Amino acid sequence: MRRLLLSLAVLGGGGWLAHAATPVWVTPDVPTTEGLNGTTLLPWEIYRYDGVSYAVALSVPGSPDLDAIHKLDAPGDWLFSVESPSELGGLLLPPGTIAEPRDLIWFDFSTGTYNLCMSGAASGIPPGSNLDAVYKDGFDAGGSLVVSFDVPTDIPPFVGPAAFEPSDLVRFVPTGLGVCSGTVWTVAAANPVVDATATAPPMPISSNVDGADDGGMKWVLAFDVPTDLPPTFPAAGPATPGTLVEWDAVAGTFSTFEVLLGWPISSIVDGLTCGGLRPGRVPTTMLMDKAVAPLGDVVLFWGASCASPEAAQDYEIYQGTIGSWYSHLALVCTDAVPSLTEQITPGAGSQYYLVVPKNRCKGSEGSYGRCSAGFCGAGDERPVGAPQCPSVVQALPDPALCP
Amino acid sequence: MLRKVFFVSFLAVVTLGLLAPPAAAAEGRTPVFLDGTVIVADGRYVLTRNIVSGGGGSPVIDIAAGRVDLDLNGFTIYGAPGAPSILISALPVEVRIHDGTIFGGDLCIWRPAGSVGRMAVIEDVGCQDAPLNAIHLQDIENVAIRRNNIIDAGAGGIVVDSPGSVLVHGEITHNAIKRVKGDGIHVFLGFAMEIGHNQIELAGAGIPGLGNGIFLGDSVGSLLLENVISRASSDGIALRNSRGNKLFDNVVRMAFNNGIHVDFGSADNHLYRNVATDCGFFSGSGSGFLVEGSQNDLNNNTSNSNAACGLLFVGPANVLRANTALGNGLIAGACPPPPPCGPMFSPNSCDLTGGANVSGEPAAPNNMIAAPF
Repeated sequence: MRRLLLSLAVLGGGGWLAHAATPVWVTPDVPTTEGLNGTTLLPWEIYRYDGVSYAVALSVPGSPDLDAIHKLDAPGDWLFSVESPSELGGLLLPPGTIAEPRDLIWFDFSTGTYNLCMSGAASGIPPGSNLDAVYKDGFDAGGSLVVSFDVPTDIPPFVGPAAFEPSDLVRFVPTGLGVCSGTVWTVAAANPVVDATATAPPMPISSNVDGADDGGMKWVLAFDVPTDLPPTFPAAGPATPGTLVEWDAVAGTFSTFEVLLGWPISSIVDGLTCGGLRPGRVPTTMLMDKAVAPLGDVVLFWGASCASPEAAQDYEIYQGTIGSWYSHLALVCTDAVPSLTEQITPGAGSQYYLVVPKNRCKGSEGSYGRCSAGFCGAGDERPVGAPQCPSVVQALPDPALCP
Repeated sequence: MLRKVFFVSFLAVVTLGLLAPPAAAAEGRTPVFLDGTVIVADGRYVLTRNIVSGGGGSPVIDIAAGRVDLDLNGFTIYGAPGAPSILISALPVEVRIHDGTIFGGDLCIWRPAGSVGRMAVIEDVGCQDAPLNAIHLQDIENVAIRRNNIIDAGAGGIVVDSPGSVLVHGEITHNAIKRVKGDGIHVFLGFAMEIGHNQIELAGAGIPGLGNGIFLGDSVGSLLLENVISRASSDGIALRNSRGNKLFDNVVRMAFNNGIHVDFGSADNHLYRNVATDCGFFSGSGSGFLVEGSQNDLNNNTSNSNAACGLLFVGPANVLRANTALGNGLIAGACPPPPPCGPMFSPNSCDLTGGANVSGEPAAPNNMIAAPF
């Protein structure tokens, strides 16, 4: 009981999302009937895959084939590119705009509008090059874009031998404000972000990365054709469409990130995103109760993160000793079903608990919560755990979205 | 073991893909990327890399489904002895194979005899170094073999036959065939076939008697047009037991035996505006045109400078009109002098029937049949 009273609070509760798979969002290149539930996935829609189903997350008007997708941190907001010119059934803004395959479009959920977000022409992308992968690095507003092209692409000064290959990831920095920088972006001087020729082994030039997202120094990639990346691929056979590959730049290895169950290899994963980068912060409304059994266990309950559920896919629990600020270390690194609640066995003595939202796909964890003013680090953000849960890098909330 | 295991997994994937409604789009093709792939589900398939056979006596790709489009996608299949590179199963298939290159394998593409296949289309395929026939289709009702390049086969170039007595219809057009140790094109039981615009060089690979440029056996109502045949080691064009065919605008040069040979069983064929020159020197007795059958019509052909006769008629009741035969009989005695050659013809041509063949017009000026010079 004493331990129970002293074991405190914190922030939110979370249940473990007991899906075996890490949620990702995908779009197919052709109408695709997946083998899990027999759903036909359409190339103008984005689907959330969680290992048991593919659920529609966005359906784009005008039915254009999507070939690059990214989930922004703002709830319901998306970036995407189209396979062929489209005006989205007349709904693309500014009015009369026709998006080209080298452009990006922003769906602003708060206004329900589709807006041209990157003009490929104005940003130096040549006609004939199609954006086929995208993610945002940084906050929704002001962050840079990282993209991939479907063909070798010259963008000055990266021309000739320095041209970008289809599996390269290329950074563009904003020239203006807001999510879309006034639609004009500039290719960054430090490029490519991922050089396909410099990975180990090099990504074959005959393969095209047509879906990508990042998590720190790791990238989740989708290839358009079966691709050899030894030793992992082909020890288990080439990475086929439907197998998401992780490139770990620190370890220098390729591995299987996830296999999309029921995905036919005749279909290409034409767009891939891990959900928002920033999992946010859980509210300060956590509750605690005694567990039914075993004796001594407690159950934590917390509210969902301020970030979108796409970003806050999972939750971690850190435990520290009261009075030793901050001594928290990783106790539970994945939330189990039911969601937003977790039963734990407290450590000896008086313990405190922090619940931290996480994006498993991005490998990012959110805020550990705020301390009293001036008591802890910059922005009054509690420090990360030591040790942290494995394979995560902190990405603090966007103050515009999580005040 | 790895290959077999993967084959099973691949097989499962392909089969599963079939249980669901098919995807409908220009893409959505199933990638093929492993040696030993067996295609068991209808659909469209595409090579995504070169594939090298690991040997072991199995084809690189075995098409064991009924309706398959296999796009080689510009890639190369490297076959190995003991099996064809691509095997088309003996099912009632409709198959299309296109756009790539095949090296070796016993045959590049083989569809063995069996149940009647409905259709086979082979287009824009390069085939090199097959120890047996390059392309061999058996018991298929309808074929379209177009724009392929075949070089260095150990037997025939394009062989279409029917052990099951299936009449084959379709076209063999715009192929380039070189140095095959058999017939360049061999069709048996053709029915309304078009064999046209092919270039055939060194059928028989220079080995005397080994290969005809084009062999048409037991075929009726077919069209042979605008083929170019050079240095066939037997006849340039050989008709066997074939009736009612039309040969026109073909060019045959330097066949080891006869330029165009219409055998005893071949009748009612129309040979129009063909050219046969410099033939028969290797055998020493080859003629430009050897007509052993009857009721054939030779019209406006040119047969010059051949070893034996320009036009040699063995069968009766053939008609000749406005043909040119000049400078033949270059091997002395190869073209029999009259007698037994009939008086209608000069030593450039010979009618061994004693006049049973008919000139459609007066011998001169419409027929230019001159003495050898």
